[in-house]
Amino acid sequence: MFWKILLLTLFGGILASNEESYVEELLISRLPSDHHLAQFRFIITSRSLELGPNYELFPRVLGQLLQAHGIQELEYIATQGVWHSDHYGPPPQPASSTGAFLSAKFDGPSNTVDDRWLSVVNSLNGAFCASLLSMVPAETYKQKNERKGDYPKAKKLFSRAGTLPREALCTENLTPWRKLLPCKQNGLISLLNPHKLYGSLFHSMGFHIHPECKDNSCWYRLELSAIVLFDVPISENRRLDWSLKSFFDRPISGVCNAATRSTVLVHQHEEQADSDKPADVITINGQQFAVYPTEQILGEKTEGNIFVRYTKSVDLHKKNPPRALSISSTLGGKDTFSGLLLTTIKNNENEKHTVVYEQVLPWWVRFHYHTKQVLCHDSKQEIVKPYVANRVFSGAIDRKRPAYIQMEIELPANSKCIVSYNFERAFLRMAEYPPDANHGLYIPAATITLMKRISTGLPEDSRCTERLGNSSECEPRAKQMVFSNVLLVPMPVPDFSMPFNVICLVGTAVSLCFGAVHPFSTRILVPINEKLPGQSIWRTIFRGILLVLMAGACYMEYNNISLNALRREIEKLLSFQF
Amino acid sequence: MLRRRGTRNTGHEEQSELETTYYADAEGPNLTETLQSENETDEIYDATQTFGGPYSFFGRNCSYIAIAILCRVAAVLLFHNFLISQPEWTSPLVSIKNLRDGVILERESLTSAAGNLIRMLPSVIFFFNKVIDVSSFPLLIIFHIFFDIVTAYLLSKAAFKIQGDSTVAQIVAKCFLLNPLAIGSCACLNLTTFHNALLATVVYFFAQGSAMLSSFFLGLATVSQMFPVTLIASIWIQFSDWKQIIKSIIGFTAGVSLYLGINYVLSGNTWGFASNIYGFMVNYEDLKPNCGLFWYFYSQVFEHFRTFYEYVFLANSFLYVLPLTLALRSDPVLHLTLSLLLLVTLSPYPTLGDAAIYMALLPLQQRHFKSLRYSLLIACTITTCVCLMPIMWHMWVVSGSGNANFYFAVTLIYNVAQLYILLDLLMAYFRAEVTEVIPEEITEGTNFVLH
Repeated sequence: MFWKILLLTLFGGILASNEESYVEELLISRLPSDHHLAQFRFIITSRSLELGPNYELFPRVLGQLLQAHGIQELEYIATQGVWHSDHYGPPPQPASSTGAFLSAKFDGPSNTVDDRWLSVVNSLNGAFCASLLSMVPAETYKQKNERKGDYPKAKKLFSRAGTLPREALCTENLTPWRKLLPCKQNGLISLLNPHKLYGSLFHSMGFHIHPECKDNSCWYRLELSAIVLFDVPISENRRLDWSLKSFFDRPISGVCNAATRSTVLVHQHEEQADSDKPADVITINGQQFAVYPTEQILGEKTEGNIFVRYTKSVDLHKKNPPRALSISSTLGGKDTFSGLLLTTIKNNENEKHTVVYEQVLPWWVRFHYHTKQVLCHDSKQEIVKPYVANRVFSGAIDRKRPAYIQMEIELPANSKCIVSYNFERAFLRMAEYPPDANHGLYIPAATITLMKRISTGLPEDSRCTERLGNSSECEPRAKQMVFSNVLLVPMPVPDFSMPFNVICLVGTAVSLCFGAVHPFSTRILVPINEKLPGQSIWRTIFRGILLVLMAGACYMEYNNISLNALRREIEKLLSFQF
Repeated sequence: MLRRRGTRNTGHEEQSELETTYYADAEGPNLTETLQSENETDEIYDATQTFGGPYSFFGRNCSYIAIAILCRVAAVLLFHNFLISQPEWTSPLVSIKNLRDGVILERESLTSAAGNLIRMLPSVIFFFNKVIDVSSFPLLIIFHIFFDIVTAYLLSKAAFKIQGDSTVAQIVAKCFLLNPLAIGSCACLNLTTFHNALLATVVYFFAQGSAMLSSFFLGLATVSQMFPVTLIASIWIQFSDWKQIIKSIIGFTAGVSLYLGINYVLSGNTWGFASNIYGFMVNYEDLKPNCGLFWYFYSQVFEHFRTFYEYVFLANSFLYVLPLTLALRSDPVLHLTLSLLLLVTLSPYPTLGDAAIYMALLPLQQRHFKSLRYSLLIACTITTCVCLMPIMWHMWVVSGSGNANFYFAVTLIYNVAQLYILLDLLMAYFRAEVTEVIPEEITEGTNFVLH
């Protein structure tokens, strides 16, 4: 029996090492703005495009999801915080705007795509404890971007994507994400301390699955990524020196045996003075990176921690010139009904850039297409009309889909371009308002995708660090995307305490109409020359009583007597009599 | 040819007084009353022959037309931006903003992907794309003023045909030309002016005695607004013999199928526009406030009752056809006026300008004016409500010092006031009818009771 088990495990182990693979790495770099960026990447590749029934490293949850829904590509990212790209540089990819982003590409029959998408959103919503469900159908759109993975043959794929501008991230979202990894406790994942993660300036986590092909064989590549941006510490000595412990509040614990490679890469900054001795120093795209395998970090000397010291302390008053491209959105308008949506795209580079501008507007933003305007202020502050091409537009359908606008804009060098729309807010049904209706609703962020990359000097693609040799050049595959801020839109609200009153009042008005027409068409008008019963003595008396009561009410109002006081008076009077 | 029950001319003293004033005012040589008797027992006289004479709309009203044009130009230059930002003056179905969107999307050939951004008929968009450029402001102003004058002309001519009295015709023209609601609607550059002109054409041919043509134009109006279909009842009362009704059905069918066909072809052989316009009206998708009854109702009503009320109120807007037809079968003009009133009150997305057309026809009921009980109250209420609407809107949406109830209250009262016109006119009409039948029973202190 024992031998059988041993053989089985050995056999399984050999299969795994040959077929499925798992790589984990952490890249720590210092940004030009003196912030430190930590990028975790966990890469799992499957045996082939046929997943299951046995899963060794590839997470069963996602594998079954892909198989059951005919998904070719799946991407989910949840982000908190805003990446100021003119300050920090282009955002690390994969990126999303604040909130959650989910996109899937389906093959198979087109008529079931919407049902499958709903089912995927439902499953992921449960799997990640997120609130993705509100994405279907009102926030779902069809992405017009090209596919990211390789495909064995030209397949017709159907794309669905959704963004949620307001999605709180918490440990309950981190735990299921962590569970997708083969090693849940050991290795680099042990660094992801929720306290530090959620206290950071900007963090995002997500995964991306897509097929990858090489030499006629294809497999799924699952890349789980977590990005943390740490704030500049303003301690007394103003030093930026760091160690893994100072960042994450804990050292690395244990080695993940399932990983074929587990490394920490540290970007060699020019001001770096001292650090733990790396196992190797490699050069990627002209930048040097120190390589620390996890086994080495766990060694006796470092005990799961590495440090870096810099020569100078940080200059808090240093002003960096704005870099790269940035995009930000603002809301105009003076009332809660009509408004103006302004998106400012700044090109801080000395060359012109062509970007693809994308904006998803929920259906309750009824924007006026004829007011759409793209204007640029060039480096001489003159207003120029930029070259706009490849416009894609799909209008919103109430409660079913958002409006989607995409266009290619050529930004002149050192320019500021403004994309603007006028819009009116829709008036929602009472049940459609969020519980805190006066807070407003969120519009997803506008996105620009750069046609030509702006180099960050970092290996932005996990493929760049795969070989870990002195690979001098590496062109990342993913397009660089920059996101604006999400916008909070105050909505005009009805009075939420009114439903019964309104139903009664409108019903009364309608019955007034009916009451006017119906009797005249069913009865005849009769002239009566006697006194009507309405003019009898009893009615006069009744009217007199009503008049007295009204006079009494006026008197009470005038003398500030409350109804309760009156009641008490009357009771006193009655009890006195009895 | 206009048919009337003869009873109206005889009997009541004041009635005949009114008639004499007609004689005095009417121009033309032929003042003799020719009574004809047909197979029916009613006596019938021919109004055209009785009071017929040249009535020159432009000759009589040139100063008012000039004032009307001046008012409209001034309003459009001064208040256009203010008025189009006000919800009671526009609706997605007629707003110039949506029209501009539609035209731009058409030019960029994005109409098929537009979702529900466009709530206009393809033919309207085609017209403003190819014939009148929607981006040219002066051209639009001229177009709308032209249509308003056409409306006034048609209504006035119709009034002359019906009453045979140029004074009434002039009052009708004035009522439309100088009505602030019509001026405001024109200043918004809404499609309402176009819709009003269509309805005025219906009224014109209705008065001219052409069942076919009036039904044809009613068909066009039905395609553009859906709810005017109820007016067919008025036409059937007016032209009540079978030959005319068949003609009217042919005309209506021709109008509907022709206009729908044009739109079908222009939208690239699809019915997409139908759900975007008619579905939109029936399902009450847009809860943007307007001067109608139902916007606040549908934003407040409980979800599980929504469909029920949608059907109830849809049925309600067609409900009054039969009872009104039965009750007013002897007075097609009053029936037409009240149907137009109900159309405005009960339609899902009314604008203030819609009301101008039935208000202009009210002088035709001149003979009932003295027995109206609430005329002053109604006039004051409507004026007050129209003035209060922008204030309440400002308080709710701009300054935030009020809430939605304020605006709702004003629109509700505005509609109730309109319904009181209906109620009052009905009462006056039946009172007059009773007075005609038994004039000896009626004294100063007589009460009228529905039995």
